[in-house]
Amino acid sequence: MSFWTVMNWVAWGLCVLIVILIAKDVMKVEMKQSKTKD
Amino acid sequence: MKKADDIIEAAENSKDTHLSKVLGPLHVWALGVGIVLVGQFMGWNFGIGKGGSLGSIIACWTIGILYISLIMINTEMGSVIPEAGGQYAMAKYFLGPLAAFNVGLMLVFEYVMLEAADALVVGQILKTLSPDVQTLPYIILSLLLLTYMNYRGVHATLNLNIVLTGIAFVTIIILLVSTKFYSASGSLIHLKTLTNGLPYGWMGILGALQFGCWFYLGIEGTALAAEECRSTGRALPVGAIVGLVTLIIGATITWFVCSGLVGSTILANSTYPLYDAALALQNPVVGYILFIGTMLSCLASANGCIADASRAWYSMARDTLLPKVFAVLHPRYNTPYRAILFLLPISIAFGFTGLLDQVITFSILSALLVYILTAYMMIKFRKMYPLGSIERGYTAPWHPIPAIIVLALTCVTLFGMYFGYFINIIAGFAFYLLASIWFVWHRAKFLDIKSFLSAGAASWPRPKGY
Repeated sequence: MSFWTVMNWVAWGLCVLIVILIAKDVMKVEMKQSKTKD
Repeated sequence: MKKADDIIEAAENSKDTHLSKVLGPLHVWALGVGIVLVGQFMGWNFGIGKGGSLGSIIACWTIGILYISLIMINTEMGSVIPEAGGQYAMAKYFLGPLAAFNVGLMLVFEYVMLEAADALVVGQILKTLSPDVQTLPYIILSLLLLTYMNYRGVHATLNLNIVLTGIAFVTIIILLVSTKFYSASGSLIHLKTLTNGLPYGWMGILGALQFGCWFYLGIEGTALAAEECRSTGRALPVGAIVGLVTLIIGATITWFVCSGLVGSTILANSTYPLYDAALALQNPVVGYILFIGTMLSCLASANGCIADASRAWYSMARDTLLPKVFAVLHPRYNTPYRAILFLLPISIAFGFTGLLDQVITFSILSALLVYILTAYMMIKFRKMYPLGSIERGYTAPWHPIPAIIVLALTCVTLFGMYFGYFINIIAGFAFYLLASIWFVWHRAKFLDIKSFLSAGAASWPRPKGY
């Protein structure tokens, strides 16, 4: 497995990580906002 | 008690929907040049395929005149409108809701396509390192990373843009110096083959004009930062005009270096012309430097585009032209997070296509339509508010000449786009027509005209003739 093949997987992994980070924060914010409205 | 509750509610609402004022002239310069500098590193060279290398530089300077005029009129109108939204905010007050909706949508797609093109080039240039490199994960990673940074806050992203833009500009200078152009005997520039003339005659210049826009497209984005400027009247004109001068100098250097080092046939189809020019020097250090410069300029541009597109989308939602669900700021970061995230999949989808010239063309088409409306707005603005009727941070000289120049050159460029991108023109017009029909039939009934015009109505006297 070449270096760049590994780096491709690392790039995909970072994409997943960022999506998770954003999704976690968005869920936290949206839940807080829906509680505030209630 | 009721009055105190109203005051508190108004303050909270004000806090909810207004962006923080943290930007100075350097930030405005970075926002403008940072988005645009990537045009030196990619995209402009497709004009060589349309008009030859001579046609390309003529297009560059001709469109430079268009942008000088555009900056003048944009800056005057932008200096009196203390809201995020740029030409969109101007269209609100000078043209009405339907035109404002279209201008906002055109601005959004101008920047979304540009950020997709930036990410596309990042993926393509990484592929030059090894055939094992897949472009898609890097395209998506670039967009995700910058989206996340914008999600977290504007000041940090624009500070980063200052650094990225500065480094990218320096790499162009390094390439220029590396060619030893100043030495009569040692220059590596092939002056005799600098141009291949006008292979398609004067009509070729018309076809090249749209790619001349690519050197400067997005500089008008500085007006989108108006709401976040500490001093709009100073930061906006100083930042925008200095930015444009930077770009004209950079564009000429770029054309000279690339045309002098790379044959026109190769240059006309290159995804990264400056990097190809650096490779032609056969100096690995310069090659690496331009590799870094291309990457950083693409990232800085995409960064600015994400900021600008989301602010335009947010402004439209705040003004009820789009569903209010997008008009919410993040409680901690004070960023339009829903607008930022909504636009992300659109840019990823276009970046995924891999069709750089098609993506660029749609961005340019959107921008040209905005410029036509901007020119019309300027003429209307001066009639509604003659000089002296309201305070202006900047007054465009020789009115209406700049507006007429913008109108004329934009129409000529659109005509030139017909040569090779006729389908793109039809598709673009069809898209905006369908969007307008949606707005009139479905969205207009939700429009709150009072809040739509409240800021201007509170600040300005009644326009002349109204």
